[in-house]
Amino acid sequence: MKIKKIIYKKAFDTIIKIRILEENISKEFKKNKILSFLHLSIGQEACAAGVALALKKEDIFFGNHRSHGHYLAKGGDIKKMIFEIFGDERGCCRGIGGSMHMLDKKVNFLGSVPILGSAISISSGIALAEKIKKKSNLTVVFIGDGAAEEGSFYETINMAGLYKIPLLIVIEDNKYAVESDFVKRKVKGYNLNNITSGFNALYKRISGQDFKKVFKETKILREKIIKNQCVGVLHLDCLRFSKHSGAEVSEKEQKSKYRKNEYYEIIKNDPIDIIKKDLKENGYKKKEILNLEKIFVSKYNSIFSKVFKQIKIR
Amino acid sequence: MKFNEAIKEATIKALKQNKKNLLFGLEVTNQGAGFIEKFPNQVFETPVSELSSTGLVVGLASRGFKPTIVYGRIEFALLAMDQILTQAGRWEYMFGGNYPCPAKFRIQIGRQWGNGPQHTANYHSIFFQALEFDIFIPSTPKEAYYQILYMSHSSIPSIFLEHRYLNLINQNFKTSKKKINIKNSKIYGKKKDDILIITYADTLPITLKAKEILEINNIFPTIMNLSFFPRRNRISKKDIIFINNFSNILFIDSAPFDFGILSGVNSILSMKLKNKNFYKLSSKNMPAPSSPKFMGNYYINKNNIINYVTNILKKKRIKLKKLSFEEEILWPNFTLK
Ligand SMILES: Cc1ncc(C[n+]2csc(CCOP(=O)(O)OP(=O)(O)O)c2C)c(N)n1
Repeated sequence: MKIKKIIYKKAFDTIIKIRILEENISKEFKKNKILSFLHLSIGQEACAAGVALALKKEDIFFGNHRSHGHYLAKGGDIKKMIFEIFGDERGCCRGIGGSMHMLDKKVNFLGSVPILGSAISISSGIALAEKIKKKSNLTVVFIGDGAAEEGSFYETINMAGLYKIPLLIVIEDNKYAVESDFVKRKVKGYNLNNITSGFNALYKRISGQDFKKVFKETKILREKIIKNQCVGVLHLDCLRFSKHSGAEVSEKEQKSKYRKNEYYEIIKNDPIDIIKKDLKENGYKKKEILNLEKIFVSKYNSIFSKVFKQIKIR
Repeated sequence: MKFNEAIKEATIKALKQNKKNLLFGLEVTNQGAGFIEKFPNQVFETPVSELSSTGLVVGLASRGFKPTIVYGRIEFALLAMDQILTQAGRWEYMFGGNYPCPAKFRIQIGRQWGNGPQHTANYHSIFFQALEFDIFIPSTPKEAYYQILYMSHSSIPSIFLEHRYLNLINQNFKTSKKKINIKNSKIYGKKKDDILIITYADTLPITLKAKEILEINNIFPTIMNLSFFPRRNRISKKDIIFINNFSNILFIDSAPFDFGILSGVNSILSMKLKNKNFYKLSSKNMPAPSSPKFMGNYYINKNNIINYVTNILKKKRIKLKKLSFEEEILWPNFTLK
């Protein structure tokens, strides 16, 4: 599968959009002493961008506690997201939901909920509603590797399979649930490939840092899921650059003990560096790429500051 | 129509009226249930996965459907509390309004002999602080019938607590085609009488039986039976005004009274009304036992009510017959007047 040049450019824009907006949000959280939940997607941007760009407008997204990236990649209203995160009533949930409740029905981003596992079965219901209405679109739910340990994950794969519901479950596997890594949480030999195949579901595991891989696999899965009316699981290995929750994306966090030597992996696998390499390999000149980067960065910086100026925190 | 037939008839009517009314649950597609034959595209057997089938229903409800999910016992619904309370119960509010999630949860609840401590919990009150739900606890076939139809039209998430104990209660009523109007409560008796009994759910039949005997003995209780607890305002002003006509108020509950529904009603009344004498009669502050020998002591019965009322009103004790096994333990089986 050949990915068009323009798609790489869109992906670059999307990844930078998520990065820059979240960096700004994070800074203002610190400055304003907002101590509430803030689950950043920084580091995992290629997962959201890859899935979103591979799908169609009519496809549906549903998210979790860490879903700013999914919302932005789907084209969710930036202003309303910033308002929501800072508790302004002009937000996408009128300031009632906050950072963990993203919603933009106009772009088929139908919500996000932070109780781990809840989103999975809710999304199967959303997908069943589409099926009953005879639509042929795909519903996608994003979860983490921690949420994939909830009973509802296994229950839903069975139930959605039973009802022939087209559903794509994207697992962003950053190895941690808060600060406990998978070794502490999963039986030795835990194998999602075996598990999902026992449920007769499709399964693919790839790197989530690499936009092009995510994009391609999502396209392939979309076609198969819709054709077979079944469940697919896209397992993305990714790197969370930030602390689990809170405005902290520092080297100190990345070198913290629980992460072992992950810092060195992080600096080698920034999705922005990877997509820049891909842009180069797909006909963009070095100067052009730097120029695009500058344009995107300043675009999102200025959007943020324009919106943020209108917000009165208390 | 018997209580369980009323629920079935109303469910069939609701499924017929609107294709967006769907029915989910264990055993709902069984032949005996009689739904799947008529509505093959609206009735779904669920896997034994209460949490996820409830999530599925929440997802459907958020997309314009009005799905009902049935749980054979409240203990099974407890596995789905995340989806019921935290998702359906908060959905519209947490997403800033204008995003209805009219999922309907039909939960069977309460006593049945032999079912023991893990199939008989009377957890009505746990739903009462989930403020976004309309809560229905029918005591009669007519109430059950109209409440099911009301729910099937409503865009509010709803909890329907269904006492199997009432299944054989019969009532003759005409099913109306007009707009469905349901009431918070029903009064049995007059506006001014010796004592007001406030009750709900499965306690109504024995309370009515007790009333008959008391009346033969010239003691006149009025019964207020609560059956609909709308969201946010669980008890109506109109009911509070009515209650104010009485000075003796007796709460009768088949659930333990303390911190239950009627204890909540009691606290509201105590703050609003003056010079009232409140009394309570309820099952014990412990889980329900299995054997009929212990059950008889656990739940209140007709004779307990008669004795307590005569006591409160300082009347002569009425000579009562010992209750038969059927009366004390089995499902009540008579026609309401
Ligand atoms: C049912 C439930 N249990 C516990 C939590 C607390 N909690 C919030 S996020 C989190 C870790 C989630 O890990 P994962 O699903 O891998 O997502 P990630 O945060 O890594 O993106 C936990 C345990 C929760 N929100 N919900």
